[in-house]
Amino acid sequence: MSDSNNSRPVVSGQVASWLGVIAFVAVAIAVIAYAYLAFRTTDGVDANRRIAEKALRADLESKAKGKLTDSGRNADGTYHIPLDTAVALIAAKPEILAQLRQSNEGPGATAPAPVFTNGTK
Amino acid sequence: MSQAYSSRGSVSRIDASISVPVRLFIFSSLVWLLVASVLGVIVALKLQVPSFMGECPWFTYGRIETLQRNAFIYGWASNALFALNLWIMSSLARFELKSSWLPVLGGAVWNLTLTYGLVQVLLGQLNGFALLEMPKEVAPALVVAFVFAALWPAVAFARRPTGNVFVSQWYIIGATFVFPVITVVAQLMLLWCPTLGVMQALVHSWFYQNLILLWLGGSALSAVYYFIAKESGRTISAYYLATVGFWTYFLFASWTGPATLLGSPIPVWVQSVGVIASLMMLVPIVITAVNFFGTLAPRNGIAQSWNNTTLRFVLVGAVSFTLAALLNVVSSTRSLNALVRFTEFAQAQEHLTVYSFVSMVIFGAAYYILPRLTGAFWPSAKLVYLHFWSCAAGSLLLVVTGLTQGWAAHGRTDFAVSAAPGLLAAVLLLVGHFAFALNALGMLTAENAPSNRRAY
Repeated sequence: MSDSNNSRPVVSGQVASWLGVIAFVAVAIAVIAYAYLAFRTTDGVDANRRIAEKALRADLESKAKGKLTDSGRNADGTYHIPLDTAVALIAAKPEILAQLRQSNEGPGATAPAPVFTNGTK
Repeated sequence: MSQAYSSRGSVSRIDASISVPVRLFIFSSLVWLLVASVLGVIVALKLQVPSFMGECPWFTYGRIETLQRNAFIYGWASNALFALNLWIMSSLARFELKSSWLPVLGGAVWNLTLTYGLVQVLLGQLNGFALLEMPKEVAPALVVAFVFAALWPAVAFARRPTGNVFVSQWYIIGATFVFPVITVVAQLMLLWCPTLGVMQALVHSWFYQNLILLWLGGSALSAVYYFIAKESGRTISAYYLATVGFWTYFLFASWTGPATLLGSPIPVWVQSVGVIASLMMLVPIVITAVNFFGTLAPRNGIAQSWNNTTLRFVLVGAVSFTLAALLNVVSSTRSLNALVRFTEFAQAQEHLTVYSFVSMVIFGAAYYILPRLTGAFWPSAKLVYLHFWSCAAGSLLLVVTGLTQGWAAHGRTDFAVSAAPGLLAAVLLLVGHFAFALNALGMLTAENAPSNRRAY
């Protein structure tokens, strides 16, 4: 189509159409961006849960390491000693392993008592 | 339709009005194509000889491969599609651009921004999301540049003198609106106000599939429809189906992202949505196949197309599109996907789409557009043949090798992928691209043909 009609504002008309297209795209982007920003979780629930889980894992890990490096009494009445001490003991007296196996085969002196309910076995 | 011709004789007034921006886009795309081709050879060489350029941190594999992919997609393909979309839409809508400085400004900003972003990638400032690796300040500038450079097809469409709409126009309009929206939304959700956890993977897959299938693929499909009808002189077969093809393509392609995440820790129902969308892609695939091959196949049309430079490239592109889309459907089923994921198979599929389909269509379109735009002949027919056969052979080698090696590698951890075919393919593509660039630059810098004859 040629624009031989000079009275028609072709240039401004084209630019106006272009600005209209830009406005259309901008509105589409703005709607999507607003929807995303409005509905995404900003109260940090997920982040707080992750932080709590991370802290729990760190706590359990330190407790587990403590079992390997400290001595003390377990909840079932047995005792634990540091891993290094145990290794040194076994190295000095290997027959202790056999004694430990024997003690594990049968109920030990500190084995928990059976639980009875309703006064019957 | 008769075209009015400018004082430049062989160039129509419509072509003359868009000549400057289209030339700028094509010139820029040629430069980026050569850059990406050289980088492609380096990438392939590093896969063969990992120690090659290993001393320099700029040339580590991660940076060079990122650089190559971004230069190819944003530099070569996008610049070329700016030109292609503007030319096709102006031609169909009888649109004479009066403010050509605006797209020229957009093109300049686009290429400068891209250069800045790729230099930053070279320096190691890159994100972990494919095709969003450039620093986050790059994307707003790219979108602004896109608005200046590539929204003009929509203006031409809005100001068309008649109410008639050809299918090519639908695809161009769709692709034009897709790019800025997906880029801004993906940047917002991944880099500026990042979403958490697996949502990032989901957003990225959505962006990636939309970029490849809708921006690149949609634009290329418009060109296939246009040039098949134009060059064969036939009406599109079963044209009434093209409307369904367009809407189903844009509806389902944008949902195929989750199908690329099968087996990952995202909700199964989301993966299923992607699988269903991929399966539904059969509808537009069948329709486009009927439109394309139903038009060309009767009355020895395929053989005639082979003797036409533009149609030869476009035909290869159309066949590649159908094959790539069918492969995407097949490989999105869970059982098959489990066999080929994490292998070369996926890369070969992407190559089939981005190169064998999109790039070959762009080449074919360039062979049609440039003579009309410049009023000059292609300088060398031999270079055209060299271009076609190098690119066709290189592309075929890359795709076939990737598919077969990817298939052979499934379920094996000891499978060594051979990098030699990839290197050979990269060299073939480089040769073809240099031949094309030589020819095209010769045209772009040539004087206009004599005014008493058409140059094509």
